Amino acid sequence: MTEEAPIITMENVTVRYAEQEQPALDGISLTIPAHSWTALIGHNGSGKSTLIKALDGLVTIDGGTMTVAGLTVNEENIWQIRRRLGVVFQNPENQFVGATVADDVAFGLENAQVPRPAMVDRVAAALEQVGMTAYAEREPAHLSGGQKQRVAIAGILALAPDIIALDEATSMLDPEGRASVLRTIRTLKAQENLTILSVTHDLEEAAAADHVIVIDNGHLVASGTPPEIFAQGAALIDMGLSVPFTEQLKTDLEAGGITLPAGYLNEEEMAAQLWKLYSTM
Amino acid sequence: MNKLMIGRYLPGDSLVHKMDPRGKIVLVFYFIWLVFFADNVWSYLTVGLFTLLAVLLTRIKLIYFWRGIQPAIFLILFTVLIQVFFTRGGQVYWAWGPFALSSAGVVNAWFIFFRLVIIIAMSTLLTLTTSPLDISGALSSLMTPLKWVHVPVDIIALMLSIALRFVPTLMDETVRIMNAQRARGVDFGSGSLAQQIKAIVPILIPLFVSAMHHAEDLDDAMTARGYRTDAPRTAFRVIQWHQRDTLSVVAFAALTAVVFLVRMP
Repeated sequence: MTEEAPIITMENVTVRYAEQEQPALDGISLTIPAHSWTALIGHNGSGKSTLIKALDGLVTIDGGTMTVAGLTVNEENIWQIRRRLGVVFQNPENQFVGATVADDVAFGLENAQVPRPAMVDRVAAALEQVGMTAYAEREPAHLSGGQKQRVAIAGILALAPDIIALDEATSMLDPEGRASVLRTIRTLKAQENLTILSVTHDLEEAAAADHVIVIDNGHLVASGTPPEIFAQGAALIDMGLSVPFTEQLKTDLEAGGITLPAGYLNEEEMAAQLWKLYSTM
Repeated sequence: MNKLMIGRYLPGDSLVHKMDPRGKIVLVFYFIWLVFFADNVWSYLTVGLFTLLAVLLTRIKLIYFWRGIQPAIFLILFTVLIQVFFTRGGQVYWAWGPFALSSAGVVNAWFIFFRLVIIIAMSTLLTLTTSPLDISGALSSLMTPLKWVHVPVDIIALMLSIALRFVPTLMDETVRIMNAQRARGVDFGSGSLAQQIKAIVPILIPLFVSAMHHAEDLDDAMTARGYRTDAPRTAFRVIQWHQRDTLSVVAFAALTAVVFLVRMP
């Protein structure tokens, strides 16, 4: 995997927002190998989302160079890059442009000036791939968050990109929606030989990635395989990485002298543990 | 959530539903214009029967058309009463100062009554059988000639469709904000008018803030998917003119002929 040629490179990239003293990205250099799944983690405001937006030309960089799919990110290439790199954003509601599911999937194709007959086929194929064919004529108000995110993925897929960037794409979803979106992405990655760059708070998702990159305060602080990163344990917390809520609760409870079973507990398991504790009090 | 939907569209499968929305809009406006040419029992009977036929063709329960007329009932009655008491002509049954009850007044009042009912029924038919999406699509298609005078028709069409698409989203948010404010003790729908207007402010401000957030995110999402205002785009949704639409134009032409034939010479 690591021997693959890099599909994304960043060299000393700096992004500074107006009215903010600290740069959002401060001299970030990294490479992301093609066909890999890279998880980008860091606490809120660390610059993860800015990094994705910089790659897609949605924020302008104040220094450094970037390449995406062999193209240098600049004004001239940006529209081509946007076809190679699809972004699924955090809020399912705010990236649904079309009046119906089919219209939304077609939005990117309309922008790319795909003729209508080809467009109809590609919309149908993309909806089939994310399992949303039955919903083609539905309006967004009648879809769940997970379904909307799958529609967003279909919209990107229709443009046949090389890379899909997930900007906390599952963070606003219920556990079921999150699982269905991740399952869809995993299947598609294998089918279409995609590269996935995922900004996430989900430690389980990060653990399943090929690479993990940790960003803190606009700096790249760690990069490696999941075992390498997670071996640092408490150091991650020092880096200010937002620990999952259940993990935080567990730490606090243990500090208060309450012992819980070892290992990561998801929300349901934690709730069960709490009920158990409550009934023995 | 969808109680306040624009125009109250009822999805269906009838001939009227399937008509080209452009044709439907133009023909309904044409019909309203035509109704003003009716001036005797026969011509009113013609347009009345035509309306009834169109309504039956939608296969929508009559109660929905009645609901369309209901809000206008006072306006209709008021207009009718004015006609009854202020028109003079023919046999005068009763007169008092400027008021008079005459045969011409009664006849005129009936005509006005039918005219209003027919017009409202036909407009209700348009909104009941055409989705807001189709109406906005049809309007932008009808606006195409304005491109010649550099009106950004495509951008307006996209704006209209996005606005419609966000109506339910913002409605949901309004309900959520109202509940949040109620939980903090704001009382909606009671107190003096000034108090009620004041209670709206804590809804509007968060709603505007949230609408701005939607807009900013949507901007990023649209740009990321390659949308640029200065580049041409192809269209996924196309409106198709079918034979049934040509037939409906013929039907309206026939109606016009009949109306002008039976009009008073």
